[in-house]
Amino acid sequence: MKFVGTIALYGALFVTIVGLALNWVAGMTQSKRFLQSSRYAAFASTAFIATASAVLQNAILTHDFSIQYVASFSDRSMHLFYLIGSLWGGQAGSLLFWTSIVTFSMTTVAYLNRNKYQDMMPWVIFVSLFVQLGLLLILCFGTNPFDGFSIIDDPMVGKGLNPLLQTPKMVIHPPSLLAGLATMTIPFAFAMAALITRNFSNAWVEASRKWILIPWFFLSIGNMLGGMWAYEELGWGGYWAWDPVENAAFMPWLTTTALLHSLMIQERRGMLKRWNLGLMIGSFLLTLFGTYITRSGLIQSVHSFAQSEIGPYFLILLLTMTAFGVGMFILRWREMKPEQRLDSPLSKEAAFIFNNWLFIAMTAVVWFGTMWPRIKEGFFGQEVSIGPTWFNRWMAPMGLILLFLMGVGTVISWRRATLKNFKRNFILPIAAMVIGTPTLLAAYWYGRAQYLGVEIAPNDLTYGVIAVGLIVFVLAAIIEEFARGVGARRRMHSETVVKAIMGLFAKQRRRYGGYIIHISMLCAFLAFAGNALKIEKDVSIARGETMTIGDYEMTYKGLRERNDPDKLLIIADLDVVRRGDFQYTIHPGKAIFHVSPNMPTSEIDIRSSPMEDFYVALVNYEPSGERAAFKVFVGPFTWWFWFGGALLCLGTMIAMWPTREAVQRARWSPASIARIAGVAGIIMMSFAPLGLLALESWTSWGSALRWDHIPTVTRSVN
Amino acid sequence: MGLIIVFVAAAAAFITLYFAVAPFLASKSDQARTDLLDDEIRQVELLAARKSSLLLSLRELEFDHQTNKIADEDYERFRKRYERQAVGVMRELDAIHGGRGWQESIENEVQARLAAAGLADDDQPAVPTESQAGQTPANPLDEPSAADHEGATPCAGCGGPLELDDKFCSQCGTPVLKVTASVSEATA
Repeated sequence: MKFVGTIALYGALFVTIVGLALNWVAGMTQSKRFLQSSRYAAFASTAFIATASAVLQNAILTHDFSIQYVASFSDRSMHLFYLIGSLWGGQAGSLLFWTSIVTFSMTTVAYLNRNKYQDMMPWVIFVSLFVQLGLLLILCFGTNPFDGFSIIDDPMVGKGLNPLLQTPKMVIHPPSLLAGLATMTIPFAFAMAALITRNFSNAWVEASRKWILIPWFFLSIGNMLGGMWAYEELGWGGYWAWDPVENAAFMPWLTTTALLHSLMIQERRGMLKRWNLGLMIGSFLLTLFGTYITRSGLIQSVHSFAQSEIGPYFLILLLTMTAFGVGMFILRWREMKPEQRLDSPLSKEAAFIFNNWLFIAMTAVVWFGTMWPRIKEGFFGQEVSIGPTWFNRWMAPMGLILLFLMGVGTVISWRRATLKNFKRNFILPIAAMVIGTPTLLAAYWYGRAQYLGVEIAPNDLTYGVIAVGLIVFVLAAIIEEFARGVGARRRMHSETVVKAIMGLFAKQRRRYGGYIIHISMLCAFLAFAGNALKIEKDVSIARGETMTIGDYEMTYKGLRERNDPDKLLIIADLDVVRRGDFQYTIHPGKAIFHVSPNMPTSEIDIRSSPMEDFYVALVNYEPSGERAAFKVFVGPFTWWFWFGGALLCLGTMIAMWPTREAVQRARWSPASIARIAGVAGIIMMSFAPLGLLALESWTSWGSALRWDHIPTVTRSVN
Repeated sequence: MGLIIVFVAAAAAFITLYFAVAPFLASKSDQARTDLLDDEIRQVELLAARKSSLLLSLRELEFDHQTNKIADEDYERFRKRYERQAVGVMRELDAIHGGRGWQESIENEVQARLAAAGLADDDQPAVPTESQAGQTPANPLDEPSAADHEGATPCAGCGGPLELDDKFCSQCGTPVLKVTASVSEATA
């Protein structure tokens, strides 16, 4: 079978090179024959890559340990769910997965636009194939997933997937991030095609606006799930630690978010042509850059398992794409003239431009913080480390200004804001802020915060109060927007309120989907503000002893052991009492997998509620169980971060939902039932992560007890 | 299961490869025909796409105005510009098919051919002919639809010609009566 896989990879490489040539001719001559042929060549390369992926997945599922990759990242005892995850669990597999996504999205674009953008499409396919060629070269000559053993030393058992990765979140996090990085190729290809064909009309903007949401969406989910994993499995205590690899995936997210906004300005007003093209090229290069620094081992982080020898290959790919992208950009600089100029600094356009600058500034800060320690070490031999405190010092104020602009950008008028506009649109949010902020803060203080007994640094307090004020401001602005929209629809179509709201989502889905995403960001900011109130304690307590944190009292009852065929579980039992009322028994623990005895994984128990998270990790223990060390904290509003994530998914889905015309163009004919099923499915999918969180939080599925649910026999090793 | 997917993917690879080569295997006349057809389709698609994006812009603009996102004079200016562009695109679209009235000429051609083949009454009840309309006025609902097929029903507002599926008059904007539309849909 591995022979078939290798042949498929080489076949894909060959067809890709042929396809590049065909698309070149098609782009230059616009010959119909070449246009058609080149499209099918692209489809063929996709089919070859699909074959290779199918072979690898099949080998993993059938435990074909004669393939090194299969033996290294799977074993017979693994659940089907994790076996599927093994496809992207290792270096070569994840690269193949990446290539598959690039090629599938390219095929989808080529098919959907078979009759559109005729001048640009060959070049779009050309650029995508070019990226694909680079990846295939790495796969064929750098790290072939189908490399086998010589016949005599075929192993009989596999090494299994890294135990840290054997949680449901980890099956979704890597493909989601990879999909985000890979699908960035498509809008980039449109931008390059616009540069090559000198077509600076709105065509590329239109196409990119649809496609840019996809990488943005996957990057968001991927980053969030990574944070969830760090929070719940690694025991960092938080969901974001400014780890270099997190930063690597965060930077393209920042630039893409900026682009989402500035593309809107170009579409409506014909401004920012150069800026958008530059930003698009930059975002794509950042995805490659992030992959390079992660995989080459240039930076140290929790993702060091992804390190390998393919760094130089990626460096070459990165440099080539940089030369290509930046070169074309400079070459066409003079021809990209804006149609309009900024009329007034008090306008929607200006608010969006400021927001773009902020996003770029944030990207620069993250870049500097990630790379400076490496640069300093490289040039001066000094080791420095830049930690979360440094990042927070820069990012917190910038985030707050961004929050402010989010509110302003929502309600300010196009071209030039007038006093009338100010009166009609700003009074209500400002009033809400002035009244709502002190009310909310006082309510929270009397209802909850006074019992927590937390001492807040003055700086954090200031930021926290400003954040809450701005959250109220933006939320009021968005609610006002919805009310205005409903009013407008009711005036124009004489609808009921419910129907008008549905109409807003159906007819103005980009705009109102976007507002839902804004609300999700507000939830995230609430979680950030809650961080200021976090109380954290590292304690070592003996059996029967009680420790106090905030108004919680926690009594250590003892330690249990549990032997599974593949691991040893240590489970601690602790009773939690709040202000005299027994709340629950909590079970943090440690799992020691036999395949990697030196790497015990934490089984953290978290009770999550909208008000606060109660988080206990077992750090260390005496073998007798007499005494154990725990990391405990109470994190207010952390739940809102995950809730925001779910809202973000929902909002993006609304914004991306294809219009009826687009569905017809794709020649599907969905019945209304299918549409309803689709919408219901989307809502369910959006909230699935949150459901998972609630489940893990309030049942034993999230604690060390979860292994109790899995039947432990019937796993034979032969 | 895994193997089946492998086979399907491999088969797809070879089928698409064939289609990649196919354009170069076709005869010269076939190639010329696809070229011509293709050109027309693409041009129409391009204009249709521009039209729908302009209409979308107009709709957004209208909505912005309704929700106080744009000053009145700016709204007027942008609206006029979009409308001018949209009208231009629609004119171009019309011009591709030799102006308005092409639907009618297609209908006439179909009727002529059906009549020539002697199929008009028996096999195609869904398309009423003029004679049918003349003979059976018993069902009053038939009348407007039959009148449609006589070609240019005059507009109730200005008396200008109407197309079969027009929802309003292109000259004066008077809406075409609902009952006509629904009946013609039911009979078509």
